[in-house]
Amino acid sequence: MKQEQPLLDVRHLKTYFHTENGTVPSVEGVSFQINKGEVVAIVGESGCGKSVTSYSIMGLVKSPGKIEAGEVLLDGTDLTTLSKRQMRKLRGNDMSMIFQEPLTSLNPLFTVGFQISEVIVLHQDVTKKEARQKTIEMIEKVGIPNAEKIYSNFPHQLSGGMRQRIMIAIALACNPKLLIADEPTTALDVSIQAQILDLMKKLRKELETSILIITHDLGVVAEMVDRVVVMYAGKVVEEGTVYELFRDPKHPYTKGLLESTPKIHERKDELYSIKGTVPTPANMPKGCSFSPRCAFAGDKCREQQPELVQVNSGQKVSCWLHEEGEVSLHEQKQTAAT
Amino acid sequence: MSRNRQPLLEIKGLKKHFDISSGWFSREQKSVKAVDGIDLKVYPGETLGIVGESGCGKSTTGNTILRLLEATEGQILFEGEDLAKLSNKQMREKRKDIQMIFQDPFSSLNPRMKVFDLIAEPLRSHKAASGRELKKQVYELMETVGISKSFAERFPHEFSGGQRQRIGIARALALKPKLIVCDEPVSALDVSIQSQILNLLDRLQKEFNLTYIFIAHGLPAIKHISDRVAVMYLGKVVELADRDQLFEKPMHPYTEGLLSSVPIPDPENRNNRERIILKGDLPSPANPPSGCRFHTRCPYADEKCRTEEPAFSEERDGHHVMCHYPLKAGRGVLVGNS
Repeated sequence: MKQEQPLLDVRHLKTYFHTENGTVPSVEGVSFQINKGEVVAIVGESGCGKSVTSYSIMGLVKSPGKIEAGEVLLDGTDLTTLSKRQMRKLRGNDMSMIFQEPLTSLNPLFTVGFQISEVIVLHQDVTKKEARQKTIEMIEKVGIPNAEKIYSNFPHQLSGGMRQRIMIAIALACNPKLLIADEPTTALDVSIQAQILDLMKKLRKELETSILIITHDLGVVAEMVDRVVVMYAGKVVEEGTVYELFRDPKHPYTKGLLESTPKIHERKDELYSIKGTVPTPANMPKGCSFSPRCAFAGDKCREQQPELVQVNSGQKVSCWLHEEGEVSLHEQKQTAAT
Repeated sequence: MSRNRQPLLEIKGLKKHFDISSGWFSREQKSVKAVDGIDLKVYPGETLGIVGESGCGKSTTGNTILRLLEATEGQILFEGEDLAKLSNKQMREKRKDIQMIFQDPFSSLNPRMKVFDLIAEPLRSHKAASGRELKKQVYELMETVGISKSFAERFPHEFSGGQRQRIGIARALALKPKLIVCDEPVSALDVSIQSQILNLLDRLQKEFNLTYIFIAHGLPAIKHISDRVAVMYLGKVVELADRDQLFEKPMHPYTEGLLSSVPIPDPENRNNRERIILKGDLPSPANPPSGCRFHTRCPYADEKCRTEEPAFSEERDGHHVMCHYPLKAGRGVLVGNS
């Protein structure tokens, strides 16, 4: 496993937005890898830079945003150095993306069949007839009955869950190596969410696609993924396998997120809550960006920025608590509990 | 617990139909039966949760109670008095006792008003306080919901979602209401902020002896805050029970399916959990299925379910269900995840 080259290798990625009111560093030196066939999630709250990270990988960051530094290696090729034209060839073929809101990401003026076959015609050398055949296969593959009929339907004729299935069909039409799913189920009802997650699990096994899921829902993470990257204020604060991260979170932010999620199978009188709110880029605190909200924060945390370091075989964390070796947060006293 | 007392609010046979007949000369009367005959009681001091997927009529129910929408049929008895029969002027008076918290803290606050004026607005328009007394009350309210007094002169756009929701809560509290209808108060917020708001609502309920109707689609939040829970499906209440009863021993197949679709943030158990995934989409409320409305998606449905509508009957003490074949022993979808 170790020697094998990762499918996606993001190294020290920095994406800044140059606005009239100054530069906003949305992504501030993010690094992580995705191996072949692996499902990785980026979790974090709104404004932490998780969506911008995924847009940077896809080369979809629009002005005033710009990738300032870093590399995005897909199978060894640095995507940040490619021309627009080369990127267009990759997108949809080697990597593709599904978005949060399936209604706004489909074109209302074209039939869904056309929109799926468009990708196939663009990237593969096929006749119209073959493309149609392949499209109908894809519609069936994402679990929609009556594929022939659905082919000539327009997006507004379909329900939210069906639209998201069509989006998945478009994304997977050319059998990409990497699929990025940006909040794929957030806009859907619970019973439909379960269907879509189930479908993604099934397709993943069948097609062996690597998946990057962007989400804020820890339930979805626990159901689906192998490894988790936790982001806070533009940086990776913790990374680990899903089992370790849920059993023994190393970063106080991760622990806070896990504990503040109300759980359906548990009963608590009061929910744990992380005090305060995510800092805006304009007033980013000195030292560790989580220190003003952290119950464990000491003087050092307010002064110096911790690095992301390996604490055990599966986990990386950026927190001063683990400076002198690994510490379990479950036993750690909260020094500055208020 | 509160069974023997008089209910604070009693809804009897409430219906709300929206007319969707098209064209001037159309003979056919078509309507969306958003709420189609529901009965509910809310006792003083309790929280009644209303849960369901989009289009089930839960928000319409909330809006009809406050007469933000006029009911098509049925009674809304508040302390024995039928709200549906009151004149607009009388209803305005009544709204001192019944207030609402809205879902979207971004669109429910007037962007041109300062925080002070936003919170003072209900007090001013009901002439409940003025001058120095008004100032005192507004500052007290700000303190109660956790907004620093120094923010009184700021505008809503300067606040984060969580803080805006606190302003919304202060507005609802201003007139010392007896009942607050909370319509998805946390669904637009991040997890760490959600728990802050849920804890705040909990605390306020104890402090001011409030009664809540808590409308949401998120089952974990509903479970955390409610004493009793009503599950709605296509305009009908299909199950109503004490919180623990409902979550541990659901009797309606829809509730069972809903509970089982919630992703649980526990990766260790993801592979040995038996899931019931509800198939298909929600039927349109304009054209609900015959017989039991759930039969198109129900794994247990038979001929009787297709033709005959089940009654809403009490199966166990305080546990009502609308099903021909209520589940006897809870199947324990959540058992083993303690």
